[in-house]
Amino acid sequence: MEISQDILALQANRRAFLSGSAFGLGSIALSTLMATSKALGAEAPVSTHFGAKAKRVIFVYLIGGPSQVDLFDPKDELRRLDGQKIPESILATSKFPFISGTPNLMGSPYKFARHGQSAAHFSELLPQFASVADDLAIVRSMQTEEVGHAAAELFFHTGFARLGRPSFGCWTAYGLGTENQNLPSYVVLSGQPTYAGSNTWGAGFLPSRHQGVKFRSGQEPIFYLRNPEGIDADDQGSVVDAVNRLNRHQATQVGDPEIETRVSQYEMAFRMQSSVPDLMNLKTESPSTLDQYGAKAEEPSFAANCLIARRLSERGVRFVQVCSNNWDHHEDIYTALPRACQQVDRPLAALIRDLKQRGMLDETLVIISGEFGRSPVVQDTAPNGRKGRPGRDHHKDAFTTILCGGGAKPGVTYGATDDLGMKPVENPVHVHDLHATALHLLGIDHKRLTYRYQGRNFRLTDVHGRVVQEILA
Amino acid sequence: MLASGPKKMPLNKEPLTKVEIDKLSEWIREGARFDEHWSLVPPVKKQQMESVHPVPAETGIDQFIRDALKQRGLTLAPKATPPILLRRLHLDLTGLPPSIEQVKRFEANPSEAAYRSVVEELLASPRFGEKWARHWLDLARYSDSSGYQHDDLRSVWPYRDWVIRAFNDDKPFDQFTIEQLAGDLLPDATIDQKIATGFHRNSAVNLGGDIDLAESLHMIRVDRVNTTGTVWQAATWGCAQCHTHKYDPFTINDYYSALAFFSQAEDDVVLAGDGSLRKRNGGPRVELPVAPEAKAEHAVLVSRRSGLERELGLSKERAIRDQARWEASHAADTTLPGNIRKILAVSPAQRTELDSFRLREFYLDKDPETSRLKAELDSTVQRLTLIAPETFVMAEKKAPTRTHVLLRGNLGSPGPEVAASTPKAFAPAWSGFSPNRLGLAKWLVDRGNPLTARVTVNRIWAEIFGQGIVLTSEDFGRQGEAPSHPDLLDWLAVEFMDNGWSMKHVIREIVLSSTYRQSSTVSAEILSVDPANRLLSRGPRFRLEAEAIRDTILAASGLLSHSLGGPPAYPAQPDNLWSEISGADVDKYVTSSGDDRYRRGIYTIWRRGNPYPSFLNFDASPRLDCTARRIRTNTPLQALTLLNDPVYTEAAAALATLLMDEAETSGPGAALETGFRRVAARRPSEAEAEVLRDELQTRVNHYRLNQAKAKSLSVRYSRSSSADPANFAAWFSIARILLNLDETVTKG
Repeated sequence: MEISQDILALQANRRAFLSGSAFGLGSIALSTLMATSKALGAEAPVSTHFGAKAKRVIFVYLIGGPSQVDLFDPKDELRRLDGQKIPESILATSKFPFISGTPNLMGSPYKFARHGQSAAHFSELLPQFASVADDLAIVRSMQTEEVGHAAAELFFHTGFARLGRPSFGCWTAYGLGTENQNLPSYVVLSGQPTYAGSNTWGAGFLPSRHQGVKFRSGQEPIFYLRNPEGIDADDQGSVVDAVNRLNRHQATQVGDPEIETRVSQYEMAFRMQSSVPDLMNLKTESPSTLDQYGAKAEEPSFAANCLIARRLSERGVRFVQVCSNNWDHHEDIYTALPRACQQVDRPLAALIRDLKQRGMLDETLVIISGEFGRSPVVQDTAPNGRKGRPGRDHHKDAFTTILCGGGAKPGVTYGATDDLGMKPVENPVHVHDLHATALHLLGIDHKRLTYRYQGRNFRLTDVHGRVVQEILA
Repeated sequence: MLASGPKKMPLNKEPLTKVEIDKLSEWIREGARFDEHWSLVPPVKKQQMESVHPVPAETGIDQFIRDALKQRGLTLAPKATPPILLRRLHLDLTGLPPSIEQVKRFEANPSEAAYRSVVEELLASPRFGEKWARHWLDLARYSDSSGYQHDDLRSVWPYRDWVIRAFNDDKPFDQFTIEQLAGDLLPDATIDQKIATGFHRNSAVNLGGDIDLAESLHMIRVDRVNTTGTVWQAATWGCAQCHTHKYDPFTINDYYSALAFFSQAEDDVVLAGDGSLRKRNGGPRVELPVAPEAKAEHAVLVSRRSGLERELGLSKERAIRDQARWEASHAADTTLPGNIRKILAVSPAQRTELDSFRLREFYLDKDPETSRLKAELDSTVQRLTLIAPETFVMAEKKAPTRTHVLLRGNLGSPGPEVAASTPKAFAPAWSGFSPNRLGLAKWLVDRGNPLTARVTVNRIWAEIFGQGIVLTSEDFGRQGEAPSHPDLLDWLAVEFMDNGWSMKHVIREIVLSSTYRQSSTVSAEILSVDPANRLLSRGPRFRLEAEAIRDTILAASGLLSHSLGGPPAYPAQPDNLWSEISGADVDKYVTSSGDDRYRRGIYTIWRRGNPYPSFLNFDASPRLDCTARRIRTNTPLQALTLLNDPVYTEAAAALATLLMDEAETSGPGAALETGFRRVAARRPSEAEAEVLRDELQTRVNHYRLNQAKAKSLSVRYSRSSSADPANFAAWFSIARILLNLDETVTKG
């Protein structure tokens, strides 16, 4: 697909959208809060390569890398060998950034049980989430290539370990366009900074309007969202309208495509001024829904963000990313991990149930993952040199990623790791494969979604990627 | 490769084809030459290009650009029109738009001589340093706070002013380098040369109670090595902190040998000295000379400060003696915060160090006497920093710390000891240089160093054209991009060194070139051949940097303050932003009053934990570490900032007042043209003028029908009390339109 078509489509729609008077502009924005308003000129989705199962994605990013052997991938042998040195032959093919010498194996202290008809394994730390086991596709053989946070984060998001490539969400927005002209097509809900900063959801070489827009928690999710004092929607609408008329004129004179982007960003900004406060207002949710998530209407939390993610998906936002931090358990993992699990257990279960109940799960692909997993061996010296409170180091060779809805096969556990949880022994799934599979579910052939830059056609999956057929419904 | 059986290479991979094996064999027969990476070979000027293209009034630059264009069947674009060119020049040399008078003067006489004289005038303007310091402060990770959780404010702004002065004085880049890295080690170092060493005191510093002192210090040294590598060598030395670099010739030994330059420096972080694990910024500092009229007050404050410090110490000791009793009496106090109650529930011996520390901090804050003294001390220190500002500097330790290679980068796994030295594979050879920061600085600016000049001219180029000749200005290694015009890069680098490392010389060469003076208008055809303008088939056109957007809008509205240097300014920002980091030492943001509200962006307080959001929305760096290249995005948040940030609303009100006054005397048409020229320099086209005229009329009519709204806008924003409300409101609308134009925030 060519970007020029993209621009042409946008121009055509904009003309329709802005042809009314300044009054019309304000009233249109107010009346098009929900995604059902395609007739009013939402950007026509770019045609997909084949039938899509999923229309949108919710990506729950567990920043820091959760411990798969304590949550999803029980290892009896690891438990049996707890405290023994890892065999040198195995160590030689592994890479742990913060462990020196030959570390000991560390079994999980948590009880595992099988849940649902699918008999999927969960540890006792995620009792609520385990109750939706039959909706999940659990991939226990995920692999990435990086052991450092920033690099692994970029790799997981962009398929490339250094700065400059578009994030997965941006590719999705670029490939499918938006279903809601009042909100960005890629929204990030994150209370804490990520390791690679805004580059994690950056557009790289794609047109910058596809980049993720971060919403802050609390009263004003976006700075400068409110009109200046005394200025009403009509005043504001007339300013935006005149600015864009002049900018469009300038675009025809100068030819710089960046001006087109600015025009569309002004339109988006204006619409966001009414759509975002409405979206963030959780008071319109029923008490039982709030309770299901464990969210409070006016208190920022991961639970509230999961609920906002559902609201964003409902409004047609293509890609929503919800971040949870506190998963980087280098030390004191047995105190920290239960705490982190407690934050996400109920909201994750609620999100999936809620989507299902509203008939949205079939069209919404939920992906839950860290940028990597954690080592089956102990890290007994914290990064700051403190000893004594055991933790786990980064682990790139085998970790667990969960898919759900949007055409992912429910109730399946895919891939298996060796007895120590060090490497996959069956059906390894690389980050590129995950990207290929997710795009496939969105109706996109990952080999054909390209963008030409510096004389080369770039893809999210570079020259790699295999659609994992076995986890498709 | 040629073997059979299990020894056959490549291991466990498809064997090579016969053609591939033949090629490799031939290469080995010819001596297996492996050319060194381009950036590690010293630059030389290739043949004199002038003879090939005898075009008058061009700099050397143009010939390289023309050559590359010609290969694609392209030529340079026509010259930009005088107002566009003049605006571009002003923005590039001063970061500010030209006044309408300046534009008119140049329009009347756009000759070569006139252009050259404007170039010289702007290079000599004090605004030049304010503009060019900005990119250097990103590299220097200059910030007014320490970073991390506590993120306390610190006084390093005299370093910022030093950088501005250095650019204004065109301090030769070799000297500029030496003073910043090692000014303190120069014989008879002046106070200015010491201030310059603030460069490496800009590292973010973790002062938390929950980090080892040794680790905190180590992180600072690591930052200094990585920053030095990026700034002068565009090298990703940081990659070798844990293991030898995967792509460039830089070993883990090289890394720690470089780190040894910095372990000789005095420690920056010391324990707070109050019995807690909290730390404070230590290390050497210098005090700026006190003005004669402030000397008496200064003496009083100094003695008050030491008195208060003594009293505060005593008060804390007394309070700590009472702590056990307080704990006993508050064991069941449900009014205490939850986390404190939890700590109290644990017996003192069982508490973690961190919890004991948290409890103590909480308790001391509650103690009335201690907190009163602390507040008094704070205000005394605050006043002192105004009349006798101090600034952080570098100095060597008496007994230097030994430096060991840290295996896998782990502080707990020291390997062999190393001595201070530069990377073995990087030219020039490390011999004859003194094994300290001064030696390092001299090595960096040695003529035999292939990188420093290239890296510096590339960055200057990137400032002006929006992208470097090497796109990855932070990485000239194998993982970086290759230069688009390698011979031009080398030519500029040699030109730079041959002209006494003068940055102004390089900038002058660039802005005098025809390449620079091209129009930025582009056809669809050219756009398809040169989409990102890597070939320079047209003039630069890109959005202004965050600070320049502020400066431009304040200048266009007549609000901009022209005062130079001094303590940071606090422009209006969203409420309560500073209280968002839990545990931060300072949580109140006191907005500047008077002229200080309208100072240039470079003077805006830079707090790492929550930087000025208006700038962040335009891709400014929080300066957690060295930033060699800001990304350039185009987002709805930028539109919201320009539309709704109260600073810009205030600017619009000021501009509206100016224009309304002009409309009174010269009519609305002339006033609209003035408004347009204030933001875009050029005259509006007929189509543009019509849009503005219609809009003005429509809005006047609208506000006539909505008198109450007009009145409320006028009361709130108008700077002249006599104005007709509907008239003001309409001009306010026009001003907001003008300040939001793409052209206003773009260098075209």
